[in-house]
Amino acid sequence: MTVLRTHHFNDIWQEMSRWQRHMGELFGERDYSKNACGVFPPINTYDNGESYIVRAEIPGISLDDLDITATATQLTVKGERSPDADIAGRSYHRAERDHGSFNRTIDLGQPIDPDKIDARYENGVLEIVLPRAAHTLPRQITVKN
Amino acid sequence: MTRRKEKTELAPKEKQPISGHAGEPTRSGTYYSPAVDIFQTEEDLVIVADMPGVAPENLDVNLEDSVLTVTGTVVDPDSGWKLRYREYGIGGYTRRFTLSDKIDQSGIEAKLVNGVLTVRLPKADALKPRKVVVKAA
Repeated sequence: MTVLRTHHFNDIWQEMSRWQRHMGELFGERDYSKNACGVFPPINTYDNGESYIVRAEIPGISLDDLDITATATQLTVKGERSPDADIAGRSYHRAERDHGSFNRTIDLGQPIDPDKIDARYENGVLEIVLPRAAHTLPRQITVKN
Repeated sequence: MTRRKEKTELAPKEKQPISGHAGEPTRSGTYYSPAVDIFQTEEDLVIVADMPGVAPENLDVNLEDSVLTVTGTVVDPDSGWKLRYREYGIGGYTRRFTLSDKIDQSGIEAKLVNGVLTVRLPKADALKPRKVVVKAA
């Protein structure tokens, strides 16, 4: 599975710690929970032989602002996290939560069936289940004698 | 302070695991420090925290001696699936806030919607701003 990467050097310290970890991995310190690649949203991908699951942490979006499209080999998740509409009269002490648009495409390793994709959004995590195309699934072959 | 940038491209922030300097962890598993907004209005102090993956029943909001602690645990949903690619770690969230204002403790409200926690802490009456009327001499 290939993931298209674009790097944004927004935070030099974050970038340096990412490199530090990459170097650490080269020398045998394995911390593969830290793969974040500079594109929002962060995703995890799972496989059970019949389907892929793609999960993305996107807290606080409205479903109207989310757009998921798929072809047999690519999945695209687009959307926007909107700022609160009513901010008049607020005085901010801290604003760490970002807002903005995102657009991310993932190359899937094996063809999937785009008609059977199932997506849900629960507790701020988007989960997309992508069944593999029937012709790519392994088949049992019986040998006749 | 006003809200910065209106519509821009979202850049990811890596979740930062809690380490020793934030207080020694007293529970097992990985915990992250959630990104928060803190703002006040005339009536309330409001804390908004991103806690994706936390279900409302797994959230704990606790106020003790002017320290507000929010903790959310995340159940790893991935048994039976093979991890192919991982960009974010799965773990809970915890963060503490020292409240400087006097808060009306009976009126605290917390809600968790789509992984975003909002805690509204009403200011005690004595601290609400009052209009000072200057009388003419």
